[in-house]
Amino acid sequence: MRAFLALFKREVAHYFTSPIAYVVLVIFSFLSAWFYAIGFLFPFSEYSEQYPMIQMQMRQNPMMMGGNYPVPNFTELILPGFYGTLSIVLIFLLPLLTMRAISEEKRQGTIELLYTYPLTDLQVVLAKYLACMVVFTVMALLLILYLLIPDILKGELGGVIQWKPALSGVLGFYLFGAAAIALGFIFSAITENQIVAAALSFTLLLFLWVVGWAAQGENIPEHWRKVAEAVSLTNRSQDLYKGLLHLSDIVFFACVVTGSLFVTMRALESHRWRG
Amino acid sequence: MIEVQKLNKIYGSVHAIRDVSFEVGKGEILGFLGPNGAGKTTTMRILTGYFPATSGSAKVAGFDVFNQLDEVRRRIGYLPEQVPLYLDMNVEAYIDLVAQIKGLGGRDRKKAVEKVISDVGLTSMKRRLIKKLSKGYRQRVGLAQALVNNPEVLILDEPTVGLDPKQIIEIRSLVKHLAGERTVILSTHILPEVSMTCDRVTIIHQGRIVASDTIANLTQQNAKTVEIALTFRGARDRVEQSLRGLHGVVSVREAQERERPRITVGNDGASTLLVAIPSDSDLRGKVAKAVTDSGVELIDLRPREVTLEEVFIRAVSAEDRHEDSDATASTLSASEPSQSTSGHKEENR
Ligand SMILES: Nc1ncnc2c1ncn2[C@@H]1O[C@H](COP(=O)(O)OP(=O)(O)OP(=O)(O)O)[C@@H](O)[C@H]1O
Ligand SMILES: [Mg+2]
Repeated sequence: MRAFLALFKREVAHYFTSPIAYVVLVIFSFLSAWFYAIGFLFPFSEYSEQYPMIQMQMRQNPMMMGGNYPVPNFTELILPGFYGTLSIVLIFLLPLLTMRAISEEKRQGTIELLYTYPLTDLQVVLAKYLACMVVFTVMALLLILYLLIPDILKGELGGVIQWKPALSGVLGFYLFGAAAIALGFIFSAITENQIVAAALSFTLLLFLWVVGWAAQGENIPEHWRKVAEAVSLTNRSQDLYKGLLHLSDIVFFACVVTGSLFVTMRALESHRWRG
Repeated sequence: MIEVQKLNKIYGSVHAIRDVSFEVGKGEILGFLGPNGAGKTTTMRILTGYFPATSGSAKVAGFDVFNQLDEVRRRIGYLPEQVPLYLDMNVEAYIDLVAQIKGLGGRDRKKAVEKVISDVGLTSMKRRLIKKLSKGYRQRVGLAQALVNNPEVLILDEPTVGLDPKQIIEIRSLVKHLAGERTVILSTHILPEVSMTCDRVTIIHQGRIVASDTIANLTQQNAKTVEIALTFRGARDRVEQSLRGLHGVVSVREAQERERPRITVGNDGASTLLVAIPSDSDLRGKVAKAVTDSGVELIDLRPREVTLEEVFIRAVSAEDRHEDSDATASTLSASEPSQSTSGHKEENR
């Protein structure tokens, strides 16, 4: 346990002594603030599903809502779209966090020493994974900060927050990121090259997003549509973003995380056996 | 302390080591000598549990490296060939991290870290980032991480490779000094390193052990006969005849190129004979007289010391002949006597 904690601390410190974590955090803060502002200040922008209909009605009848600027239901109308957009942002950002987690140790040969210390592969992989999750947790906490804003403004600008669905969305976001990071670890373990690791995990995440909306196409056979929807990370998080907690979705993400970490360990083991 | 039996390692199509067996007693320093690609690193990686052997067995500190790897890992300190360290950490933080990983805690850890840093002479550098250290100092950090848990067994893979001569001497004496009661395996392809630091030597070539003994035995310091190298100008057969007639002489033969004494001046037209005499008799005077009496000009007489280099070349070329690669054997025997062994390795690659 002491060994594990020491390694975990070193990994966290390693993230924060290099620019990469800061770059990712800054880009994420900027983009999330941007998308939040769009959703917040322009509540009937394209992030609202009801956008076209309501806008049409408003144009026909400006006095429809008593002439006031309409007060949206913040939680229902804005948050799902906001979370959805942010998960696309994660597809681009998380590979930057995971790319060097293991590949760097392989390239520099430091993994040879790790392997000869009294440590198990599980300890090594978990310490690195949890350290990466620490960085990601900072990102998720930022989202909670955004949720506090409508409360502080007491509904003056937007609606009042409904905490349960809003937090379910944060959970969805967190699970999505946890799964994306675990998938990225596989690629970090199979190559010594950080760029290759980043490119491969980006490609996989992009694919898992694209199959989600490709599944909605018209000529897709029913069973393919089901498979695509089941495996698409973005699809799987949709219901959570809307505040619908399904055990199946949570179990799905948990399985992706454990499965990926297991494959990561196997990849390391085979790397070692090959010498 | 270390028992290795019939280890084999096959990487895909490369049979890196074949039936490697040797033993190292408690407190011994074993030199593991071999040219590039001989299989030194492979053997050491098996002993440290980095990867398993394809077949064979090995025990370190009484524990099997296949079934009791955890116990083995707790008892060894390993310095890999490339000295991979976390370059972004400072010396003290890094050694402290390794100490924690190796299971040290609390006050013991602090003390151990401080002691090992001062033992390897890094106290003045302990706040320095490892990436800003010179190669020699990084090597010390590597030694410190290996030693911090006070291991019974120390495994050092070419600890002096890539260092300047001054650093090499410093690291060597550090290794010798820090070895203390520990059992050490030290791989190298530098022969003087072995004679300077090790008690015993195991020579590995193309994945096989070709010789394994104490340095004294290998260089025939305890042998029953000693050879005298005679260098002279003049008719060789007459000298040979009169030497053979001398009572007590065991054998007379012509010296091979690499067995000739290294005389820097006046070697033109000289030939060298090697005369074997019992080591407990002093026939040197009689031998000298026999030579001068045969009417030749004696220019040099000295006992011939078998260098480790020769032992190495003999062992290696015997193995090559045994193998079938005559080409390698002939390049080896044709090589300059003064050539360092690393030179041979270049050819062997
Ligand atoms: N991962 C690997 N895959 C395939 N072959 C390998 C691998 N590692 C080593 N070899 C081969 O195994 C043989 C032994 O290599 P090893 O690294 O053990 O030699 P060495 O004695 O340490 O050499 P050096 O003095 O160059 O360090 C060499 O022929 C090498 O090419
Ligand atoms: Mg080597």
